[in-house]
Amino acid sequence: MDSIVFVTKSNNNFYKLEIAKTLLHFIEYDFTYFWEQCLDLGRTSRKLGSYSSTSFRAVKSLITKCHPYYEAQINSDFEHIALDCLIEYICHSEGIGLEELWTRCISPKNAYEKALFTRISEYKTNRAINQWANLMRIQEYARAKLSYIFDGDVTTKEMYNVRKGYFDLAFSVMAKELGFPSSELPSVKCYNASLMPNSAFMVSRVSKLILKKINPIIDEVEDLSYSRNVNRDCMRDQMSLDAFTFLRGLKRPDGMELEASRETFGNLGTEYYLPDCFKAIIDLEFDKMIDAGIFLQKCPKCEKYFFVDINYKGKFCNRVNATGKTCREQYEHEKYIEEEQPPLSNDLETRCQILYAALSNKVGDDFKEQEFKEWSQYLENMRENVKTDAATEEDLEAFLEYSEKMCKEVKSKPAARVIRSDNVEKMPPPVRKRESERPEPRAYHFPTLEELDRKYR
Amino acid sequence: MEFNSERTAISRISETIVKGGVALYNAIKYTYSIAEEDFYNVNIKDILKVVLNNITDADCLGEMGLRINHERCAEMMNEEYNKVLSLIVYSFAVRIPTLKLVKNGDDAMTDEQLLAVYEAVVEKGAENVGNSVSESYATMKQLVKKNKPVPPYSSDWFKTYIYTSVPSLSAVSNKNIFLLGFTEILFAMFYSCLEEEIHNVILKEAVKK
Repeated sequence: MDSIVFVTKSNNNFYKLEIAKTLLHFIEYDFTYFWEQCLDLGRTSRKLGSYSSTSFRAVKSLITKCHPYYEAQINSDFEHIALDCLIEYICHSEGIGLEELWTRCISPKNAYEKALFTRISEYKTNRAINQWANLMRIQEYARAKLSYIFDGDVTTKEMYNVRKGYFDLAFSVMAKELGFPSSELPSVKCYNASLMPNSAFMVSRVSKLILKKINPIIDEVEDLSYSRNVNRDCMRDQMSLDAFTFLRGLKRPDGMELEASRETFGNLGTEYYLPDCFKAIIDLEFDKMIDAGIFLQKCPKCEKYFFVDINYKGKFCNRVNATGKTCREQYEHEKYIEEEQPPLSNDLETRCQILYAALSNKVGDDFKEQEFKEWSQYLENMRENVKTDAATEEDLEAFLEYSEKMCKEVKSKPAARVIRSDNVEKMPPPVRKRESERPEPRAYHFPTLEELDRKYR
Repeated sequence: MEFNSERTAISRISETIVKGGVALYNAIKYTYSIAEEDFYNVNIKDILKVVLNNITDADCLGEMGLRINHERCAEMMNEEYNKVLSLIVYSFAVRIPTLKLVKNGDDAMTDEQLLAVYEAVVEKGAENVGNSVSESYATMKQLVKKNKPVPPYSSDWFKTYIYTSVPSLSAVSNKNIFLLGFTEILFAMFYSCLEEEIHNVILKEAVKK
């Protein structure tokens, strides 16, 4: 089985999920463009004091293909995801909490503030959550679970099962310890087509025929008492058997009704899943993957996951990378070079190293850092070309001679070091980057909407 | 007090009082509605924050997703309870004499001006249904004239009216006990903020000294 079909409470459609492919696609999905569009919209709305629900709705459609569950819930759970993204950004960029943002908009002066206030009120009254933050967390969860189960060498189905079981059980234990009621944690229900919650509408062709038959019975039924406030499992049997009481004389379909039923049920599957939230469908996909023997492994080159293939025992994937080759091809090529190609002669290697050290000490006003970088890149390329027979040692020698002339012509920096061949081992090798000179990375500052507005004015 | 336009000032002041009355009337209904299903989902402090920051906006709590309908506050959907609105506005109106204490420099509102505001509010529907509000315009005027302290605004008259005239709300139930409790706090805090708003309106309409 390569796919499963699921339904949701919010509509009467069927959705298909391709096992493992959907998961891979989701964890690699890039939400950057959506995020940027939300910020643009937020900037405009804030500036004009308006809130265009049409525009916000249009933006949410940009990521419809990230996962079928998102598509299924796009008009319910994810209805306001663009606004959620904006709220999250405002809080993050201004370093404020939700409470402060809500208080700021408590007397809304325009439609924009009203929209923010209304949405945050929904969070506060437990009618909604920030679905943008939720989507990011689900993606992170899926990645973490994938990594937990599949990272490392390819192993047996039993081992993958053990890892998955352990991961899930750890979650259950933690949830219990934190006091979350297990009845309210994510779950997936499995139905046959006729017993799904909305089956009367989803299998409408046959249910209409049944309705015609049972209408006379319904007309004679006296009001059954049903208390909405009672929510106990024991009532399920009672309700169901109360309904069954009126079907005791049900006859089998025949004639046209039989034909319609045969055609309809012939096209329907045997199992339909009803997840009650995003995490539930992610977990279901993992269960189905491992059950079906569909495993993944991580490519050490591009660090992306690919399907384990019984015909391939290696570690690299078949995706084309920036070099134009697949990771597999690139690995084979590098292996060939290492094994088959001789290294540079000692003399040449020493000359390269001495020259590198000499020129690096001359970087200054006469010989700029950028020039040195370009020269060292060229040297590296030449060395590689010689190893791969794309160039000869004579070509490299000619370049070294030219470089040595250039080195003599460049004025030394004051108090330059004396370079001697017996000091070569202490010089940094040409291929290494000068990591000690790389500045400390600064934390990225997310500009506020006001700053973005000033920037784009 | 000298106003830019006395007629406009009286109209604005009376309008603020009436809008405040409607806002309080709705605030009671919205808060009562949370007892139906949202008792543990909605924080009463948030409701108070919203109400007190939107003192003349009748529907601010609707933006929080709260709904006033038959399902959630059936006990308030009757003719007897509807009269509470007139009572609320009346209870605000009788306190108009205290506006004499609002000064624009040395300038204060005259008795005639205050009476004009009172009459404008009564004209808009304020009424002491069943004489539930024990205070009156005249008694308040006397207290202010004699520099005596005015009793704080409270929900006593509201409780009296509920017990005597609205059987659906006087029955002992979880929701009704909740109603009595929150109105005690809401009325005092609401009037304090409304008073400040009225003072601001007066000073805004007054000629700058």
